[in-house]
Amino acid sequence: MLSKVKFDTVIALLLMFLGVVFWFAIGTAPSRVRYYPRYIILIMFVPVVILLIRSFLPRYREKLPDLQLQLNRKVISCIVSTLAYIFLIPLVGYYSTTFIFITGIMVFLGARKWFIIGGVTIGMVLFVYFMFTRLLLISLPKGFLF
Amino acid sequence: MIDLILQGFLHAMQIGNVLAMVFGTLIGILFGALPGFTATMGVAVFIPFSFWLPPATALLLISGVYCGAIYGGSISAVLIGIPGTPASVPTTFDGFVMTKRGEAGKALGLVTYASAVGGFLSSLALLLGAPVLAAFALKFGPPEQITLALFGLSVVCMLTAENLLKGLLVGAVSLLLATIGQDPMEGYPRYTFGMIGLIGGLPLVPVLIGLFSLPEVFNILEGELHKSEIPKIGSMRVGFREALHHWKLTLKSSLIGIFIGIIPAAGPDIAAFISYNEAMRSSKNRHLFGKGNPEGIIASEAANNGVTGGSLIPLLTLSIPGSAPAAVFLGALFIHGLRPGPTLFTKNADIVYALLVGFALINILMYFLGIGFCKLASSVVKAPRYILVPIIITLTVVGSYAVQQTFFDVGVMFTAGLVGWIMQRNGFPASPVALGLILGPLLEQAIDMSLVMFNNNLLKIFTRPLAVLFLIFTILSLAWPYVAKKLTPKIEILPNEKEEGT
Repeated sequence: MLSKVKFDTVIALLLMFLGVVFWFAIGTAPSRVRYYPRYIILIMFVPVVILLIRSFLPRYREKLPDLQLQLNRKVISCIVSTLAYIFLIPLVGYYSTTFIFITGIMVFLGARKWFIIGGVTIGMVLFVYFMFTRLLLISLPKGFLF
Repeated sequence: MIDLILQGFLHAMQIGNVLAMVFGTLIGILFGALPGFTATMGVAVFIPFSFWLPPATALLLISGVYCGAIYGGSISAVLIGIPGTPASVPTTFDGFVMTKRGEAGKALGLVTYASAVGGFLSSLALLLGAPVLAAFALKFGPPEQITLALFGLSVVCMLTAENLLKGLLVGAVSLLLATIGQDPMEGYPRYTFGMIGLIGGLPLVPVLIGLFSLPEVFNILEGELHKSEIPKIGSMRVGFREALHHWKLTLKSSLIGIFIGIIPAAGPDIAAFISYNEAMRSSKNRHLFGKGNPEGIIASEAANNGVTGGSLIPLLTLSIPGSAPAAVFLGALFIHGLRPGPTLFTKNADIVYALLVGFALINILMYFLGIGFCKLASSVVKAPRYILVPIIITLTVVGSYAVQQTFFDVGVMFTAGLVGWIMQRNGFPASPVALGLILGPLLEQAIDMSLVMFNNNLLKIFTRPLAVLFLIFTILSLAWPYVAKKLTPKIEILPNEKEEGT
């Protein structure tokens, strides 16, 4: 049943919800502050409503992509590992997390030669260290390791 | 004046100054090529390094970083589809397609050629016409900025002509997202939903990094990871015949860049989009834009580098910075005891003319240094994808963190990447997001200021000739896709072009 739902229908409904939330979220602001976003919301509703109506018209409906809930295994793994990488950096430390992340992703994607894996990982960590920490004096999170 | 230019040339050619120009340009190219590093950041980072240098040497170093960074942003845009700076977003549309087609060398050659020509012409405008052109900046007030922003937004119609409804929808949603954060007049926080990171607005650079890089990573993962063929790079040489073939476009795009540079509050990103739009409108090969058309690269690059010299015109003559990096450049001038204004050209003629001549030399140098840098950088295309994927992800994370040194920005980048990927899979164009987020704040601020100027009567905009001129441009730009469709006979698209477009 869900697979028959068109992506455009879902996105139009979501954007309508966003518009309503943004409309009321600024309700208490002074009028000079809220007039501009509200005009933009009204303008936004024109293509949103057309998109919604069009997604139900048989002439267009046939050409529209269905809502796809199935994703490529590699993409899901990459999304999850990137998310974990971002969350672990402040806790464990930038350099150690980056070292593990690059090695892990390379092995997962099929790299087998240890000198390539080691070279890329160490090279990248050193590049970031010299470019960002030494030259640009950007302090990257240290965490409980480094 | 010729005496002053000659003196400036001799001053700029002193060994210390030449080294400063070479070093500044090289480091600027490297900074620009890194996702997350804008030209503004590059200039800001190098101001403290210039304290101990003589004023002319320091200003030449910073000019090198400025010009190099605007150019360098396009190298990563062409090679891996990640615009190094917001000004390189339009270059991605055609440059990355050419790379996928095995023409990375040609794309990089065109980027370097157009950037050098655009930058050189802007430095000539700065050297020869600064006082005259500065008067134009004074005529450009908030009402003109409104119509300029509307003209810029009309680019959405041209960019997404094949999918106009979705293009307009994405543009409108982006304009709404651009209102997140403090309002421009009263500083009232809007739509922050309790998140401190949103008070300054949705961070532009992390959004663009995520939007243009992560979908590419996911596309790589969905495709064949172990391709046996190594992508070709090809020659970077732009022959005399090709340069001659595109001279009109290069000149027009450079002039657009120079004029946008002179206008306060409009920077290289806006120039690149407007120029791309104009090139598309006037081209016979408009159906090839976004499918690896060299004209798209030239238009975008000549314009964004044209801004460099243009933005210094009101800065040096009136103390009005024409772009964000120029505003930081103003700080460098003050630090070295120079007071911009009409007297700058008489009181500090030796330093100013060394800077003006040096600016032209930097753009010539940039061509040769750029080609050398591109030859090294282009090897990234040959890297196996299991190397490319972790490197791109690591650079996007550290690049978006570096902007404000907060992990909130990394989260924004990641979210933008996921949204961009979903949009791409379902036929929603990403380019209007960049336009909406860049032009939204400019439009809102200009409307607010115009309302105050005109006692809440915005119709008085029509009393300003320059504003009316831009409104006419906007209407022409909006109507052009339909007019062109009616006027031109049906274009026969070759089968391989169809494939490239998909």
